Amino acid sequence: MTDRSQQARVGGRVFAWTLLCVGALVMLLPLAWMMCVSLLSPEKAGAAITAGNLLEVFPWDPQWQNYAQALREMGSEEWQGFRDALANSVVVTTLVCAATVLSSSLVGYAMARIPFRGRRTTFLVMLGTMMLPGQVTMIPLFLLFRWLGWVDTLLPLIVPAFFGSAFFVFMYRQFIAQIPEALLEAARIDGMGHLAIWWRVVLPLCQPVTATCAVFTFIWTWNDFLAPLVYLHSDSQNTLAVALNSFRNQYGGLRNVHLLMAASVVTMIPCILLFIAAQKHFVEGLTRGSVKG
Amino acid sequence: MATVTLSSVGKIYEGGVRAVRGVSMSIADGEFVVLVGPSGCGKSTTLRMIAGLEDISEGTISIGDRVVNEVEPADRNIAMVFQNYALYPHLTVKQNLAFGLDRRRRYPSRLRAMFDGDYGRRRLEESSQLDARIAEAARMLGIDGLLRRMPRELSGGQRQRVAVGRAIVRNPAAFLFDEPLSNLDARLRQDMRTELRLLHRRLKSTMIYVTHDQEEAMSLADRIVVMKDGVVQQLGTPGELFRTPANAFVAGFIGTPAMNLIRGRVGASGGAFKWSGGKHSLSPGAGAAADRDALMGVRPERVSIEPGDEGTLETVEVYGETADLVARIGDQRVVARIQTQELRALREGEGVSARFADGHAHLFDAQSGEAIAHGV
Amino acid sequence: MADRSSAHTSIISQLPRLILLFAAAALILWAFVHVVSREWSRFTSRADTIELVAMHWSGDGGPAEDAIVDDALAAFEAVHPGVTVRRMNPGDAGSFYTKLQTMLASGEPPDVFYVGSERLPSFAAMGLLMPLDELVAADQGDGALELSAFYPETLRAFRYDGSRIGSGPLYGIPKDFTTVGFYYNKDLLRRAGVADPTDNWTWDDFLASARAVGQLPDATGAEFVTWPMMVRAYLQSAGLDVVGEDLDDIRLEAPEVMSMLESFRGWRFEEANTLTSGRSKIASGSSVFLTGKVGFAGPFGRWVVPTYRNIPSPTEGGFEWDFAPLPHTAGEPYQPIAAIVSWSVARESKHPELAYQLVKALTDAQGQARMARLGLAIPTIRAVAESDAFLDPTQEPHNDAGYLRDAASAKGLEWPVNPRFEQLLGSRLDQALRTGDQTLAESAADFKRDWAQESASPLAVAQMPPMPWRRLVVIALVLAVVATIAKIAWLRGGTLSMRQRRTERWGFVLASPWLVGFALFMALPILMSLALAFARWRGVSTLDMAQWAGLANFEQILVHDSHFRTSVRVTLVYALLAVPAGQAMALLAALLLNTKVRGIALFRAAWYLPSVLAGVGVSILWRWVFDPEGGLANTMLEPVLRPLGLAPPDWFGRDAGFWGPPAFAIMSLWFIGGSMIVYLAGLQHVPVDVLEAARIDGAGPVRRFFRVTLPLLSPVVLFNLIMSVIGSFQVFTQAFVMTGGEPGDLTRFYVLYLYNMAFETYEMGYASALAWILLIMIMALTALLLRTSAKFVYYEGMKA
Repeated sequence: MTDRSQQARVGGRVFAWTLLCVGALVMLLPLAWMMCVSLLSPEKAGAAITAGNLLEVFPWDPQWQNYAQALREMGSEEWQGFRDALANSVVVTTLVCAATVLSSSLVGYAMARIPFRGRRTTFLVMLGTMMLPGQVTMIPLFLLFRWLGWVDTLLPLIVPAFFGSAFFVFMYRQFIAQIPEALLEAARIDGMGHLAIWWRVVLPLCQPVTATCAVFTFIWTWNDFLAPLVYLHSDSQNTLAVALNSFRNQYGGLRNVHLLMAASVVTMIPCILLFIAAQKHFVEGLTRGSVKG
Repeated sequence: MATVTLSSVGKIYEGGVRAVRGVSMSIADGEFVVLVGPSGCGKSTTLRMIAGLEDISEGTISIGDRVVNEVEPADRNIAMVFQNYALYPHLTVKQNLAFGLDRRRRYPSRLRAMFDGDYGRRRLEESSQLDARIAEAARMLGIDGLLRRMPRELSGGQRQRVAVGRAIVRNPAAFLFDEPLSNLDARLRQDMRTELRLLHRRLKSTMIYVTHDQEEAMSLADRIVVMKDGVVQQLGTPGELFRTPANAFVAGFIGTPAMNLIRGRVGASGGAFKWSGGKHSLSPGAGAAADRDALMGVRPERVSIEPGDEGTLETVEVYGETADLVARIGDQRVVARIQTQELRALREGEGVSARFADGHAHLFDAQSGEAIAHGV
Repeated sequence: MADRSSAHTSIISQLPRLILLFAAAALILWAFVHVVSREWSRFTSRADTIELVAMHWSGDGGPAEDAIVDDALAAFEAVHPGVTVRRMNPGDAGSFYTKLQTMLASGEPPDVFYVGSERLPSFAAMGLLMPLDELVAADQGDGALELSAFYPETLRAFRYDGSRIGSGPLYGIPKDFTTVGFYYNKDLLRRAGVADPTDNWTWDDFLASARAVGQLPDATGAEFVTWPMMVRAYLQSAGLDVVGEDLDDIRLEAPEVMSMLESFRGWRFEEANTLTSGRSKIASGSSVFLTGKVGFAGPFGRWVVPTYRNIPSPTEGGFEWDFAPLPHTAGEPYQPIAAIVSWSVARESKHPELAYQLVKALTDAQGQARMARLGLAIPTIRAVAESDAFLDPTQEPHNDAGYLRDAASAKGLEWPVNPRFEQLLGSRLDQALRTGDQTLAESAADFKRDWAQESASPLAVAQMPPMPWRRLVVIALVLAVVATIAKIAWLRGGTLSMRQRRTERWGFVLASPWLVGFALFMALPILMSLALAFARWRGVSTLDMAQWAGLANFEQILVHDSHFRTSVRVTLVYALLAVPAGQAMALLAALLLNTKVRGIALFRAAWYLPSVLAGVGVSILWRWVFDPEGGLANTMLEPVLRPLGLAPPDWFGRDAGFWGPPAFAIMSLWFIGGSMIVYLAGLQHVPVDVLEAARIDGAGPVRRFFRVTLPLLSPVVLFNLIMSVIGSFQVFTQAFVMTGGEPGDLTRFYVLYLYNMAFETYEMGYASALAWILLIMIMALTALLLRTSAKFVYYEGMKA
């Protein structure tokens, strides 16, 4: 309208931009540091870490072979440790993601849209379980899986996902509760039972939540450390997180910090890629709350 | 094609709220019936009970010869068009149209068909039949150019057509419409109304239609059901409702502008109606109302307002050809509809009196509102 | 809208996405094929072979140790056809014991495994180990085990009679051991003009050398670690100890002990550069030596040698180094210490005879010689130790004989059976000797009080009846059956129409995954842990050894346990800082990211990214950020604070009492992404027309935020508040990786304490009680929040 308000608006925008940039820098700095260190030679890495000078960390002479070395030395046989760990992580994560999405959305649909007596209580109990520290159930769960004969297989990591996770059931429920009633009624009149409605109407509409759920599950499962450590015994069953930890224990000293960082970066890459790829859907899934025809 | 019969149907929600009570009606095959009433009158609930979306608390509903109280909506062979269209936002128009059809081929039969040997040919046939039906419905509704669009890319009117199309392709025993036009603007509503009427003529199937707009009801219906507070007030053709409203509510609800309902008293002989604006003589048919308090209903078209001293002219609303005069006479308000050219020199604020045409008054009981006499 | 445009974009712009998708699909396919084929072959080859499991850890030997064990196992398999041995290596000793503990608890332990001499009493006392004497006695003829070939002290360390080590049954065959001493940087000593230490040097010699090295520019005299074991080694070098002959006799406050420790404190805190500051956690322990900037590092055993052998020669930028045994005090008698590791057999092993044979094979002279060449430890067979395999003149250290100075007389340290002793001693000594935030007297008094508490606990002394498991199971089953019947009866009743019943059935069917999962993976374990909260159960023993403790766990926690109180305080301080600051930051960030600026999607990604990467790696990263020497935080604070006459805090050291929890709170700000996204979602729901109306009403941006946006956002605030309060009570990984709760208990968060009790002390009953108290606290706080929320939360037709 006036020059003044125009100026104020431009000023505000510049200010916002500056803040955004500074924030992004702060957020990304430690990561950048990690990647830099992973490319340093052993001597430089050790020196850079203790020197307290940020500039020394920059890899002027990137040592890409650090990555090959780190992966080769993961596990007891050359490359085999890394191959097994990668395959296990991928299999577990894929199955867990798929299972979590399917089971959580199914339960979420029931909790949101199918009246049954005790539903409210069930829902409250479900919310309650989200507060439960995992430590409470850990040892009894181990005994249970041992009784089932699942210890040292990937099953204890995968199977629980088929029973839904309270957090995602909650997310799905909140989202599904906002789907217009008429849409589901139309589906019922079009001749669909609850399973068909869930599969053909609800699930496609829940795509944003599904993206969120899949990304979260992926990240949590991929980074999960305690459960694989407890349930898996053999080297061949290790997931990447556990392999990384053994690696840390073996290469944890100042001397090997570059290898440790390289190995850490490798395990982070899938999460970063997935996050970038799904970023749009993911943020949307959390931000878009309602479906409008 | 089927008849739909409701007998003593009632709905009680959890917590004891009664939404509908004792609704009985029989809808003939191919008939267009409109349920009309103010919001909260139970008309939508009734429709949803017919659809199977609500449980029936009392009474029975039959479609054809079958009692459907316990039948799932899917198995009632009905189609429904919703107020907000209820198009599946993740499917194209064509997929939306095909949705119900596709689903109707139940899995067991599909499995059996696979072992039939000529499964491929049958599928091909089926899908070409399906395509033909979709194309026909789309042509009928003028949406054949939109089949590959997504619902969010359509205008309101187009969405409504798709919603109707989705019902048509199913070729159901009965169509149910739940306020399908109320989200459209006035002009579009007018057009769609005409089209629905034409559609009904073409399809000749049973249609049950819910609206709160009496004009829509009047223009569409073979028969109208007026409801209030969960109870049917009157069931009849538009003409019957207009000419012989069963009670003061129906009288006031049907027709634009609304009928004047004037409080007063019928004289001992039944020959005259006395009210704050004077005396109006009644024809002999009014004898049944003799000597009691009554409401006299007169359509605004039958009222004339002339210069006088019984009251004042409050407003003059000109609608082009016609104009409404609103006068306050005593503590009552009287509306007259006249041709604009007859407006003459009447000004707002001037003294007026009201006269009613003979033989066009309805009398209703002052307490119960029940009709006592028509055309007196 | 968005999709339509993306549908029309060219295939080129989709290419990266397509490639990524294809690569992901290929990776997944490969992974499934790999895993399925591997599992299939494992399944089919399982047939009728006997499988033994051998579990060990690898120290600084790394993969080389794995290879040596593998060789030994292969040799064993060759001699015993039809027997396969599976080798497991969970990593370092810490992970090893955690793993071993869960396996022992589950009644399915590995057949043979490493046991450190310091753990022997507690393992043997619980009957987890198989006495080997009979098997040894039965082992006659060719290739029989000759115990006489071993250093006698290494065998004595694995005999336990139920109260003391040294006599009683033999519970393991020692595989190797080490004495301790200092590693020294020959080049630095030469530069400082100091002679190399002799095998017979004294503390005065050590001190003189360290001081001289400390005078050199950019060098420090010594890295002197204060692990409890090494403190005892230091004391024993003067004939002293923290406990008397009777292990319950705490001698920490004895004047000669105090004066010995006091002089150590003086070296560290009153002299510049004689000892390292002990403050940096990254640059501490054996890796400090690698930097070439310390004259001495120790006391360490032989285990650092494989790593130190990687130190380049002086010509390649490294330095020369060697080993000297621990100094002693001139004229005093001394008792050298040894750390000994055995291969032991689990009492539960199904093939004891084979397991014994395996242990024998793993500790035979050949294997020990190979291990010795690796440099990791001293062979327990005297002949091997004194052979060239160990005294290898070609490799550093050259003074291998130095390790053998005390080999015959060194004894394994004996600790009280209760592992809390070592933990408590360690954390208190840390405060006095490493970070210096307490005086020695304070630390000693604290420790004495801690230990008194521990010993006086009703849990420590009372004899308790066995846990009535059978009765509990019966009660639980009866209750479950009754509840199920009642539920079914309740569902049968009621006035529902057929269709409602049908709908309801579908509801149950669709919700059943979670209902079943809840019953199996939640309700069952919860009930079990509830039962355990009333039990005294050492996690390493089997469940039927649990005892009924009644309310003793809770009494001990709430009335006597000062660590519990500290951990609650630490957690509360953290929560009070992290929750409001984090929520405010998250909301601010969300407001910022809700603006329509070019490239906002990228900014959102950048701000959110750290939350995606939570885990071990990130915690390692942040430990470095807060490191007092060279860490990012202090490097940046220094120039700001110096002119004001202030010094940046020593976050996790001397100033941990005040700055420890805040440091974690600062770190938590890095992970606001989750809350931020939820706020962003909420902001996008704030109706634009309401904001516009407010604007027309003349409300400025600040007013608009506080009067319109915030009230409309309040349900989201409540949600985030609850989630972050819960999260702040469950801080674990960061604390575990970054500080381990140290110094003292100053950063011991509640869940970390719980973990320590459960997986380091193995007090599962106690830990279960702690978990339940945590649960109750969290629920109470949530209820409080929900209760008070009515005042500030505005619901707009929100569906409950």
